[in-house]
Amino acid sequence: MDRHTSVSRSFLAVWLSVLLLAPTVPMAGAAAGERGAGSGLDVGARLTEQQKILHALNRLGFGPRPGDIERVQKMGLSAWIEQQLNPASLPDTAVEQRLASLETLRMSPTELIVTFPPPQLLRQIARQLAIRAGMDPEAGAEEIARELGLRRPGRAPEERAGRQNPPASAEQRRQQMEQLREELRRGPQRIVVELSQAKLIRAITSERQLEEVMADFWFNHFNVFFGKGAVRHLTTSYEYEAIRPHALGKFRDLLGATARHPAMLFYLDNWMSVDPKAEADPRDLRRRYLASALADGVRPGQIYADILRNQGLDPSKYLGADGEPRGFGRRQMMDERGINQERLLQRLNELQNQRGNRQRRPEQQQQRNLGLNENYARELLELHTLGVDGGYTQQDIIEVARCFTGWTMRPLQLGPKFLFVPEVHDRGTKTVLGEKISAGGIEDGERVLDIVARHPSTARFISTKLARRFVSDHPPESLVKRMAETFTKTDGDIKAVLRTLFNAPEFWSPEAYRAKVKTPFEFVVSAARATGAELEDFPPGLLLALRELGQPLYFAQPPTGYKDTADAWVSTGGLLNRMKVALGIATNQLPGVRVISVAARADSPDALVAELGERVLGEPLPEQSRAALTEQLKKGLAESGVQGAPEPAARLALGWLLASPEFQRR
Amino acid sequence: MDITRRFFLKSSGIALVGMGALPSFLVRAVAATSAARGKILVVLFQRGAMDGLNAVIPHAEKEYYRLRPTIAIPRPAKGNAEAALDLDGFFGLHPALASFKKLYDQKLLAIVHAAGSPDSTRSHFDAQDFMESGTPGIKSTSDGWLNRYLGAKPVESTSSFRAVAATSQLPRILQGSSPALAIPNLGQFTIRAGRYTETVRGGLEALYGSSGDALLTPTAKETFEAMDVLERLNQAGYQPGNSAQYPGNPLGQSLRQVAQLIKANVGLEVAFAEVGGWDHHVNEGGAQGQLANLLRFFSESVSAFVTDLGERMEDVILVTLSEFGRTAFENGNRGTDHGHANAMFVIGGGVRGGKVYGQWPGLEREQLFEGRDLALTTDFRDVLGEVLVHHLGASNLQLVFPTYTVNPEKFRRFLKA
Repeated sequence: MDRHTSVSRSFLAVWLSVLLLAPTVPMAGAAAGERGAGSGLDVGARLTEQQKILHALNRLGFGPRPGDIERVQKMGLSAWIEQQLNPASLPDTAVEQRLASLETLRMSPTELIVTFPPPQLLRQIARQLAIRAGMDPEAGAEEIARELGLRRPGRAPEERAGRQNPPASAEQRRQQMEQLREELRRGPQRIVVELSQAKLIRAITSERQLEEVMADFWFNHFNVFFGKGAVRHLTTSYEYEAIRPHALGKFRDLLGATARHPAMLFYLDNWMSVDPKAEADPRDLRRRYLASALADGVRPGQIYADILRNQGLDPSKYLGADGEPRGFGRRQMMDERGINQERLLQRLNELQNQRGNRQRRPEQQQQRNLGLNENYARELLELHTLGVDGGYTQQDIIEVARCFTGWTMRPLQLGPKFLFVPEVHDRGTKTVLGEKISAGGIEDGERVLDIVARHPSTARFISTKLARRFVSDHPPESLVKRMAETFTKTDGDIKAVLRTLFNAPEFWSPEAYRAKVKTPFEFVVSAARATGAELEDFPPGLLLALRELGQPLYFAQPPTGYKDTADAWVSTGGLLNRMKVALGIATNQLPGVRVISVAARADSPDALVAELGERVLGEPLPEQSRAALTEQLKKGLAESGVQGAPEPAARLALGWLLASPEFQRR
Repeated sequence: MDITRRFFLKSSGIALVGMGALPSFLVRAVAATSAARGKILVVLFQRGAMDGLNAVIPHAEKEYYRLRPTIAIPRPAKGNAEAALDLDGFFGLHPALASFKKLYDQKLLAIVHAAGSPDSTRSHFDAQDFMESGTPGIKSTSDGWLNRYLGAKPVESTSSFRAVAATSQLPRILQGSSPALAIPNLGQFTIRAGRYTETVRGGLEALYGSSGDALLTPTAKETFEAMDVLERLNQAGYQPGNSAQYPGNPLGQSLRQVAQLIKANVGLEVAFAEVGGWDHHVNEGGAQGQLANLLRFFSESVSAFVTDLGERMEDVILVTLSEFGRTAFENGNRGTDHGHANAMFVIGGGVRGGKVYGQWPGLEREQLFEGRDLALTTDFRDVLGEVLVHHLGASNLQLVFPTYTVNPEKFRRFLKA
């Protein structure tokens, strides 16, 4: 079963049980007293200096933390922007220390596979051991899986179904939380939880705010979906090796890194795209995979041994001395051409049929016909570079796909890695966007990347998307044009394009001020920043909140990624959930997220609303809102009839402000 | 109506002059019984790919039994509880679908076999995506077909409850420019804070009421209104009609809530629910086992929904989708792998039920799609198209399925004229 659906449901169950349990917001009285109010939002023909700083903090980063505005004021806005454009110059040790506990971030794909083996690999192991022991491959495999304590992949639907019901009692909730903690410790879900936590921690606490914004932007631009098979074990490497190093670099480098990364090759199916006319067949692919693994010192079957060892079992009990599962020795894998995994598979099938004493079904043995797969080619043109109106045809897609035949990846059990297999590459002449490509090797794909990275449509498409992220949902044409010019002039230098953007009057115009509605990610991150909330590793409250808000990190299924325009995020259910999350954060009802203290100086409802309003929004709350909110706060205090404890009242006001329409914008 | 609510309404420019000032759907909710009853579509997605060949069994096909030596459902036989329930001498229902057999006999259930998406992908994610976007093969479609239907058939006064998904996130099928609610649990579409509930909500309403935000304020208004309506529904409690018994699983609960909304006459027109767990690669089981268990609670949930709504089913059609079918032959793990065409269930008072529709492609080797899967003879958009046109009264299917020309000639005519 698709693991991710059950993962998400178990998260959900806990989330529902925790957050939606009618949070009681304790109220208490506060001393009376009046103080003057702040002014309303003042957007004139030009932004004030203060507004400019706030605008920059909201756009180049994820919103101000308390004190940020003063800091930027002190060092000067342009110096701060320059610093953000050169993140390496900013020390960020606090973040690195905070991330030290997230171990999976430092694991290679192979280590992740060994530590959190995918269900199909576990099945394979149990199966092969069963065959070796002369047992029925299925019944035996199940028995062995139980014996080895290997986690059985998948759960019965009833069991899964039961997990979706919000638990009834506190004890059940506690048990469910424990179960979730255990699942997160051992299961592949831990990979995505740690990735997400790291992304949140960086966005909330890193000094390198622009770098985080761009890492998020590019991951989303070159989206891969964590829920799709092998992508689970490849996403960490994808983000940290393909995306982040190039976030402010050259577009062509970024594009090339994504094109060759196994996560992308798998997600958009290019790994199985082969020339349908090639004489080679899937066996050649397998042979190449094995040869490549051996060349890297990876023995076939080694990963099995590592998995067993990692489960606390002695591999030699189960596997041959050479690391192969016993009964499938090296000799059987060799023939005159070298390694032949096909023989291994054949032998496996024979044994299966002997032992299982079952009818041989030829359909089952049939190779899946591989052929040209256009998925990557299409998305490369449509989403990664030229844009849907970028001036390419269906024939261009086919020609690009032909250029990328043979761009594949070594499968998980052999240590995933980019691999070019010439035998299945289409060596014929291709014509892409009018240019002939005929080198006939790996250069064909690289040439395509050169062409599309430097195409004027790409300059426009990327500039538009950046302007949409930084300026408004419908950015001014004049700005996009200048950014595209910079893109072309600098050969796709992302930093240079951003400089053009940050120097543009359109960026600083009153029309752009608070014009963007925050995505759920921007909302929770900015809320944590504004309140100084601290994140615990477990339970991952903000991550669960993002799932509720419709933006589970790394789970955008379509290659388009998540939208960053208001139409995608403004809905009744979405707004209700933002309100709940806002109140949840402010009152510490969101598991694993703590606002230690509101620490308001104010001693009256009026002063409290004014002070917190300015703290949360970075500028005074509009007068009408301030007055209305103050009235509500006073009313609540009067109803509660409790005296002299302003903290709960401050938390309520804080929750209101995080839920306010003003805070939903940046 | 307390002070805060008045404040909110006043500041958002709505004068409180009796009932006339209330949004029309609220009026409808208040005056529930007299409201005109519109047609309703419920889409039920079976995520993970149901094994249509073991749900609706071609028991007259010899090949079926040859391809599935351990998981085939025996031919119909009196007294054999493990045998298929015969429908028409050729097809039979899985014995765990006994409650569907009743609906079939009552002519409320029609089946379209060998239906689905023409795209050959065998990726769950891509195939679900295609079935929800309604544009197989095109991954960049940003909205879902059910949402585009809402846009293609604008109504005068839009109810917040016109489109509701019984899911925590708005599913792909309902994403798009027309408003739609995702309500996993009617009782939880609310903000509660014990005895401070009114205070907490009052503050939120005050903030949105005093803001002139052209986008967020109207949305907040809808949110609070929906909350009020649901509050009233929740206070009234819900007793399913005709002693219907919903199973305790999430699908049962989802459908129970959809029924509750339908009967509350809050303007519901399209609803979405889902049920996962159909991906049986290993030990799928035959008459008993994993698939059987799932089919049982699936069909019993749907049957409870039909029982609950009773006469009201005249206005309602429920249609099922699953991203693709499964291999015609069983695999080495006594399960089935990802295949192609599948069976779709269409249930409702307006259905010419008691029949299996579509063209049967056969299971002989050369009849199979790519030599392994049930071939497709009905595009899912022709099934949905018939429902949209003849049940909901949609006129412009080009907007709903932009990459497909829905041709009424191809409708299977499973609906009453």
